[in-house]
Amino acid sequence: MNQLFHLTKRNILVYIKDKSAVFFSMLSMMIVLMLMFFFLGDMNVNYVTELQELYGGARDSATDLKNADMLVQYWTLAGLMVVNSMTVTLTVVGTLVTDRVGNKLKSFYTAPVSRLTVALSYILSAIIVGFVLCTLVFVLYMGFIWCMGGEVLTLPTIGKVLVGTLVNVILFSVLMYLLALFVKSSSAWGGLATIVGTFVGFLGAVYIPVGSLPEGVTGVLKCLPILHAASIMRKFMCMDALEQAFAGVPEEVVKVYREVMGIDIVMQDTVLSTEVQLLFLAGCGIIVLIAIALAGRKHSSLE
Amino acid sequence: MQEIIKVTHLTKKFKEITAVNDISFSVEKGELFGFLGENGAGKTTTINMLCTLLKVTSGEAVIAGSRLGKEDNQIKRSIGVVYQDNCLDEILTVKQNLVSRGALYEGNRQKQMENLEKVCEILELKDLMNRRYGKLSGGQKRRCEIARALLHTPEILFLDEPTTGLDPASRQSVWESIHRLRKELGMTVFLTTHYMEEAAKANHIGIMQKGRLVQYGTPFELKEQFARDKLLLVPEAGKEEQLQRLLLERGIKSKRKDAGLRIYLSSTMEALPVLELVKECITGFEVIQGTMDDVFLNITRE
Repeated sequence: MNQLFHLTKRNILVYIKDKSAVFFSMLSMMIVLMLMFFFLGDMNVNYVTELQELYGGARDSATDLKNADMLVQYWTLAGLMVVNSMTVTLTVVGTLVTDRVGNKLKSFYTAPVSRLTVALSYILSAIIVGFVLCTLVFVLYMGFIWCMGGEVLTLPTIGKVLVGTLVNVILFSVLMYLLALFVKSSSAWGGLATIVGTFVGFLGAVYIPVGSLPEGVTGVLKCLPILHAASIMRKFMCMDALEQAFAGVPEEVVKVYREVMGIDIVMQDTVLSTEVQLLFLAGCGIIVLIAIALAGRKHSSLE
Repeated sequence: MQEIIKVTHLTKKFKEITAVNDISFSVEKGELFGFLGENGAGKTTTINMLCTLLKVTSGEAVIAGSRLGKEDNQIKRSIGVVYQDNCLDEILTVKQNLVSRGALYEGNRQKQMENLEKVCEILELKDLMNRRYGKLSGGQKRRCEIARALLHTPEILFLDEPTTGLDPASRQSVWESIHRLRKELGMTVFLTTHYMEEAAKANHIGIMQKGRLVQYGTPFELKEQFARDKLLLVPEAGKEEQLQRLLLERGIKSKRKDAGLRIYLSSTMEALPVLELVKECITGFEVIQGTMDDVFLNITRE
């Protein structure tokens, strides 16, 4: 345990002390943030206000706009946290690649420490850093929403969000570890980071709502864990905001909105429950772990 | 003397390539063992096997009383390894580095700190503790690497080319540290190097070539056998032909070199009768002792 603690601490320090690594690992999230702020946010808000105008009826438009804005803010925040949980864990696990390339792994392997402990230290450090940074983003953004006159989530909801974040971060950490086993150079890992950073926004339907994508694409996205991870986070975050924004709007309309925005994922005409989605994520995690066990046997030797 | 490392018929194959081919040797407790060879001769592969990183294809080794492959954890506790490449983290301070690596061996925090203090004293790292490792000079980095390998007070220290790429002053400071370790802690040092004057300080030397251990002995024995002394005669003006004739009559082979004649000797003392013979014809002479460079080149060029 002591060894795991110190190795994990070392991995975290190596990441945190490298300011540019921290910056670039959050860059995708910042890009999403800017896109939302300058272009996409208004579009999403307009979509909500249109629905309110069409079906909502008797309220004043100022309140409608405020509620719509808050809904979109929380929807965005959910996406941000999923993007972050992927790119940050990717960067932290990247230490494994640089350690292997720089022959640093050797110095761990000649110490009386099991290779499992070394492997766990990379995954654990990614989980810790990912969780802390996502929580930080969550708190700051929620503070921003509050400052802009929005409402803060209730404690039970915050609890749910944190659990969801933890699940995502764990899943992505093991996934990144699996990828890191196969990457043999730092530049290859950098390339992978670029690809992940670019695609994560699309795969999680963060830039563009899943309803606006062609059917073939959404079919593929629904088989990947990212969209479900984002959907779970959106459900937790937007639950209250949805009720406020769409008070008085027919349920059918809200249902369509939830599907279009990727809050609910519909497969074969049924809305997947959060439990089913969590199970799906757990299943993905287990598959990844099995793959790690199989690949790790081959890769654990330095030959 | 007690054998602290005993290697018998050690072999390592990577697919078709045999990197280490059936080598046997032993290292005595407390000695400095020099492990030489050209690049790619199999030195690092041997070290990687001895420090449990690579699986042995065949053969055996006993290190500090533990059998390689069976009691690897005991072996890991009794060896410290300094690699060719620096493996501490550039971005962390020396102290952060040493604490994180030391914790892999020692669970007790207080004891860990005591070890750290002791090692830093021997390697004179006290002033560097809070500096960033990446900002240190090459020699300081190497001393930190050695400190890392010593944190658990191992019995054997493996040094894989510890001074490659260092300037002469840094090399000297690294060597002073190594000498102090041996003197104060009686540590066994297993060294690979490309600098022959460093190898000459070893108690025993093993020379690898193409995966085989081709020579083993003390530097003195190897020099006797493979590096012959040279006698350089400087002839008096106009007496060069006479000198050559004299040598030829006795059947002594000589070779022109610059302004003089060079004669290979099988021992230093052999120079005396030759000098006696030719003293009338020369203005000066020089006996050049065989060096480890000669030994190395003679063996590896065979």
